[in-house]
Order: sequence, then C-alpha cells, then structure tokens
Amino acid sequence: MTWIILLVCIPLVVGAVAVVTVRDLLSAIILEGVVSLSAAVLFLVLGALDVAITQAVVGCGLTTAVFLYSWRRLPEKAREVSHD
Amino acid sequence: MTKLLAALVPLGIVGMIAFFLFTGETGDRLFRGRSELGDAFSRRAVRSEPPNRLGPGTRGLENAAANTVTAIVLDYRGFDTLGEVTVLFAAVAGAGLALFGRRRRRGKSAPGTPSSLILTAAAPWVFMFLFVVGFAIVLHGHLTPGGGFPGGALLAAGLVLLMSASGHESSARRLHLLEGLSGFAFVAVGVAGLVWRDSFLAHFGDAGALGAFWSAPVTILLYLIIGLKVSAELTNAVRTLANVEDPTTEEMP
Repeated sequence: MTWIILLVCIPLVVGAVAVVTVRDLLSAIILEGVVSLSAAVLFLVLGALDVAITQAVVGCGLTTAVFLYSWRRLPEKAREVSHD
Repeated sequence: MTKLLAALVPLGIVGMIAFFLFTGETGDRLFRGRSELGDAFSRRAVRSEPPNRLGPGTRGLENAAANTVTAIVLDYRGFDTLGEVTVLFAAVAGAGLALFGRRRRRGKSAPGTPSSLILTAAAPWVFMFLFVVGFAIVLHGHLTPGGGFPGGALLAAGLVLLMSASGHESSARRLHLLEGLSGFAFVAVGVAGLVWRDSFLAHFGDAGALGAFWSAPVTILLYLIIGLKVSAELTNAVRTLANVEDPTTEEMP
C-alpha cells in the first residue's frame, strides 16, 4: 500500500516541480493536468472515491479546459514564461 | 441521409446501454429489488449490531439513504446545500458579468487552429461514456459516494469536450433555461416538504428500504436537480470564457 502511494507520488512531485520550471506555458498547463490526475489516482488509492472523481473532473478536465481557452487568447510573445 | 445515419449510431448505443441498464437482472436490481451497491454501502456505513439494529432492507426510517453523508447534506442540512448552489450560481454569474461586453460577434468563426482529428474522432464516444457514468453517479448519490456535484461536473466535462471538438457552442438560452428551471425545482421541492411535512426541504413520501435504489425519493430528486444545475452552470462558465473576444484583434481604447 505504501509503495503504491509512493509510486503515485512520483509523477505528482515531478510534475509539480516541472509546472513552475518549464518555459512554455502550454506545457505548464498540460503538466498541471498531469499533477491533478496523479492527485486523483492518489485519492482513489486512499479510498476517497468522491474526492477522486471531483479531482479528476474539475482539476484535470475543466480547469485544464479553462486554462487552454485562456491560453488561446494570449498574444504570441506572452506564451513563454521567463524565469528571471 | 448521412446526417441521419450519423445520428442513429450514438442513439443506438445509448439505447443499448439503456436497454441493458433498465431490463433484465440489472433492471430488477435497480427498480424492483435491492441494490447490491446500496446493500454493500449500508453494511459498511451502518452498524447492524445492537443497540443500532439497522441494516440493508430496514424500513420505516426517516430518511433511508444508505449514504449517511447524503442524508445529512440534502435532508437535515438541505438549506445549506441550497445556499451552496446559490453561491455557485453567483460565482458563474459574476464571471459572466466580468466578461460581459467582451463577447465575440456572432457569425465570426472561432480563431486558432481547427480541432485535431484525435479530439473530433474520440469526443462523441468519450461523451457518451461520461454521460452514462455522470448520470449513474448522480442517480446513485443516496447509495454511494458521489452525487449531484461530482456527477454534474462529469456531465459538464462531457459537454465541454463535445463543444471543443465540434466548435459549436451549446445554446446559451437552453443552458440558462435548464439552470433556472432546476433552481426553481429545488425550491419547489423544499416548499413541498413544507406543505406535506413540517419544515422546508423536509423528506416527504415513503422513505423505502435502506440500501434499495428507490429509497429516499426526495434525496434522489434533489441530487438529480443539483446534477442538472451544476452541469448547466459549469458548461455555461466555460462557454462564456470561450466566447471572450480575442485581445490580439481587439483595438485598445
């Protein structure tokens, strides 16, 4: 059980770090979806079914869709993040 | 002709799913007998040892929802849930108001590249899956974890997926109508509780057996209303966002 949780936590942590370090905004949005999906799997493993469903739908699906719609409106030069 | 055939395929699949769901053994379990899902949950959630002699099939309860949390959320604290639904409505209305006046003109095609083949090919199938699972979660809210809020979000995710794949937008008028009607229906159920029982949103009617699909009818009704309302609201919110005018083409004042 602990090993499964640790296994699910790997994409969660790696993805969370990648979201804030990656330069391309589109990649960051998709990575945020991956983090949400890993969190949903983690909730599923821990037995919180309703939280897992909500996390998968709202966190991974709808939030990513809203971010993508906003991304589509951005001018070309705003789509890359500079980490100064 | 091609359009008719294309419409027949998803209708046929939904019809098949409905047929298997509502007839035969599954239909028996859902509508006539006791639900295995509900039995399992009530065994887990309700202790059958003394002094609480409750278990699957217990009758004569005030609210027979096997999922105790649902019974609290929609019955004993139903007024809070009405407030919660109102908060959701206010949030969506606020977002719509903030973006109002920045709507894209009608008839102008959506900017950006067309949807990819993977999205357009998979969207109807994934939508049907999400639709069936969403309604299953909404309708089993009194038996299992889930219910109107996650189920409604699932339905909304399906609608958004279909919207982004086809490029068409769901009709705003229909969404507003669904939203308004379900909000009205919630209050109407509350008033019915006031009329037939002693308080607003009181559980009226036969509560049924603990763990059965047809138990706690008012709870099923309320979660169905909440599911429809949440799905309409979330779809509308994403629709509003998708409709905002492109700032690169907009002239600065």
